[in-house]
Amino acid sequence: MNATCLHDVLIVDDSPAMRKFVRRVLEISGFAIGELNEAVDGLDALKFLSRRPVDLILTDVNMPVMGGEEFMARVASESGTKEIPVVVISTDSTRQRTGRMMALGASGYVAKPFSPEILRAELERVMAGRAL
Amino acid sequence: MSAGVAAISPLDLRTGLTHVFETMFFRSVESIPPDAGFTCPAFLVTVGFEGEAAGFCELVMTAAEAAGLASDFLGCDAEQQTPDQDRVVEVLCELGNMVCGHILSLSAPGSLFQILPPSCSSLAADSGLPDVTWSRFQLDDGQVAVRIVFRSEGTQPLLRAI
Repeated sequence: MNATCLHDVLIVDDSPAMRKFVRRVLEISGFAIGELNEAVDGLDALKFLSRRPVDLILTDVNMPVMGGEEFMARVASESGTKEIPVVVISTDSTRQRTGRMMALGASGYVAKPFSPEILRAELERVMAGRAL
Repeated sequence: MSAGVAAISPLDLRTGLTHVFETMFFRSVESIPPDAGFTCPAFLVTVGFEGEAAGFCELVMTAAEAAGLASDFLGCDAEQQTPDQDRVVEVLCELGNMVCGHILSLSAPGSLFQILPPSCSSLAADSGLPDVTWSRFQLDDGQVAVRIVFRSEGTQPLLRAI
């Protein structure tokens, strides 16, 4: 996190339309954003994170190459990334999927469809928990 | 049929579709009769799903509505060009992903399923889609028709228009 409490964010989603939508919603939500970065799947995200850290990761579940579950497990197990909170953004909001992602180490879960207010509230909840 | 999914009720279908369109696209949704005319069907979006629930979800969309949805979803303002065909297809695939996943989550919250990558194709004017087995809805600038078919039930859709 930088000195002005802006959060550098990594958006992980294979859909370019969804990445653009999340970026736009973040910008209008009022959440304190620093740099917004994007990755197209879990593997692409891990490569990015090996070069530079972020304050918060937003990830989809169903992605080619490396999906959200494997990505979540890798982030939670590697020393350089395990402290980064991960919020899942997925159309799959079943109890089973939510439970699996939280068990793997996700800090939050936002089900699609979502409003800017819902996204902001969940991200602020997650980041507030980190500051404790 | 999958153990985790008894059926998709018409109410869950309408509720799921309405949530997606109202929350993500700021569109109102009205049910229309299954035999109402469907003006200029242009795109077919197909999204498969596997796991405790297995089958596919399909949407048919008119061209005018598709372009408007893509423009709004991507945040294009009045001065910007309307999205090209590739961008429209990207947005329609994401729409299909959301509609399929959200309706399944509403209908079978205890199930575990995996949404497969969506595909989108152009429809010929004489494609015959959507037929009367699809649920149809009026949006602001056009129409959308939806059906969900469970693979283990053969090719007959479980849903009927309301």
